[in-house]
Amino acid sequence: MDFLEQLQKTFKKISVFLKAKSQNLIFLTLSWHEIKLNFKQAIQKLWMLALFFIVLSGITSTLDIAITSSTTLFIFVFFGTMVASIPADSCISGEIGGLADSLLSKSVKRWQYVLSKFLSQILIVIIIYASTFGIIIGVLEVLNLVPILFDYCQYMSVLGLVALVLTMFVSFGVLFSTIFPKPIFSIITSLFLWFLLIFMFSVGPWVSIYSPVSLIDNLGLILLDTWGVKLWKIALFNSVPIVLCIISATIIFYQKDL
Amino acid sequence: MSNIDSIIHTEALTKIFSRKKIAVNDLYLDVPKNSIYGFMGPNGAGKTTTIKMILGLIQPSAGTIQVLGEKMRKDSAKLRRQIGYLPTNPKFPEKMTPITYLDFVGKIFGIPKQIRIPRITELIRSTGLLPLSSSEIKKFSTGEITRVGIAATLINDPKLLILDEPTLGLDPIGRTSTVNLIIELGNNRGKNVFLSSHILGDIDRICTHVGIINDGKLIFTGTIAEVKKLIHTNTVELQIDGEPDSIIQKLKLIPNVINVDFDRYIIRVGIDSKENYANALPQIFGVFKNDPVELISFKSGSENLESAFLKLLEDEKSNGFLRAITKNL
Ligand SMILES: Nc1ncnc2c1ncn2[C@@H]1O[C@H](COP(=O)(O)OP(=O)(O)OP(=O)(O)O)[C@@H](O)[C@H]1O
Ligand SMILES: [Mg+2]
Repeated sequence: MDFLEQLQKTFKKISVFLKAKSQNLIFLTLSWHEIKLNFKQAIQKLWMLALFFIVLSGITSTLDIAITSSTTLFIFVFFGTMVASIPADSCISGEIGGLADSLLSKSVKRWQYVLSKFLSQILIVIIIYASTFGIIIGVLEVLNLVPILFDYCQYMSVLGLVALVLTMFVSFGVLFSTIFPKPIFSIITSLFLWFLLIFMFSVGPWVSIYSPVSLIDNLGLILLDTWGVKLWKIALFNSVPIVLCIISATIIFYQKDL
Repeated sequence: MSNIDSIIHTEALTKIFSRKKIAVNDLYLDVPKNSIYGFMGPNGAGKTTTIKMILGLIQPSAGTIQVLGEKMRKDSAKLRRQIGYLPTNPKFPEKMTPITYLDFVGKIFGIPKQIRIPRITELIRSTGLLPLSSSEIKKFSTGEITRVGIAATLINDPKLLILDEPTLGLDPIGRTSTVNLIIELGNNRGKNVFLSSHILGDIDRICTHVGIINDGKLIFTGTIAEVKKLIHTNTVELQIDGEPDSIIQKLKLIPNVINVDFDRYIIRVGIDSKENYANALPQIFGVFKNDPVELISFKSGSENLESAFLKLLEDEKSNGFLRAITKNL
């Protein structure tokens, strides 16, 4: 009882604090608005999600966590990266002359606007990605089909790395949407980049280990912790572009005339 | 340096777009306190560009901007809290109703819920959007969209309203109600209003002060009375019924008349100076005394601001504006 009260008090304190700080956190309001909007659109395309989960359930019927995961990761790496970057490609350029002007003529700062775009676009993709794997792991755990000695730590690192890859593609999409005035140009650039990073890298010489495809190819080895490549290198390889994208998109957006 | 009595003060404001397009050229604006300032000019004169620079949406190529006594920069979010801006064709996010949109804008301004909700209710009522308050904005007519836009500019209780062509695309009824709304805001609620338009009639009905911009240059600034005096063209328009030739001949003989034009059924008579205007009028009417031609109506040139304004711009184009000013003042 005492603990619960304490919890409630802390929760109240946090919400009061957040409300006081909310003026500085306008970009959270913006991101929240954006996420809600995108999810509403996604729900309207529910049939696509349904199709996705039907395909997924067909895959999960093999009922082996390694095989199921590698197939699902395959889908995310090859198609998820492309699909995720398309809405990001138009998220800023599509709003210039419309909502962007309207927000930035109010009390929104430019970095808040750009950051809210990054945050919302990334969060949407990650939420879909995480819930997919949440469902898979949940189903397999409930059915008691996960081996006792299964190395969740290694498994989660791979999932995390693929999440990073998705984030990277989304970040590039948002960056392109600040550079190009028309969404079509950024979509073309994104597709080119996608082709380069997913296909070219996987067949290149030393770079191929950094390709997300190699994560899937070597999933078995990684789960047994016998793959010779340090995972942190791959993490670094994928996170540096994200940071660079955010910084350069903010700088470019500051120069823009609306 | 800063002029405290000015709401908007720009110095040498210039914007050159890429490909060497000079949109705004060395603009010195001074919008006095408690005024409704009309920013007037033809299409492509640079009105929108100037407004966007005042709001910090566009980076000036040169010059400084002060709004409400503070320097306006791209990130002056605090300063913009005191400004309400209505763009030319306001656009709204998908799937939003007036209520959700106003709530969203209110949240952006960080207005707490207990103030936000009553204010939204009041704004929706006062802009006449009550019957539409829960339908999607995307499906609204131009007039209804303008009203949502105006309501949204007022949500933060701004000191300064900047309206870019608020009467564009409205029918006479919509225009009148918008005009009345702006006058109400300016006169009774004590807001400073800066609005652009290329419709002289609206400026005349709303504004206390005018600035005229053409080709990026400010060619006139002053009170409404001053602009009227300036474009007073000393002409009389006579609408007639009958053969005009003999009348035109007789009009040309009057001492102070300098030119006589005929266009369809209207004779336009030019008088050399303002001092002789009143003297010439009886003589002009006298012409009709013993003539079969009938005078249907007449109009003094100063009423016809629209064409006078266009004439002013034409004069300016042929570099004669300075001459035009010195002659008329
Ligand atoms: N982003 C831009 N890049 C290049 N030129 C531009 C840009 N924006 C405006 N211009 C040019 O600057 C000039 C002024 O445009 P502006 O939109 O300010 O005119 P305006 O007075 O608002 O006209 P209107 O009454 O049609 O709205 C125009 O010639 C226009 O072509
Ligand atoms: Mg304009």
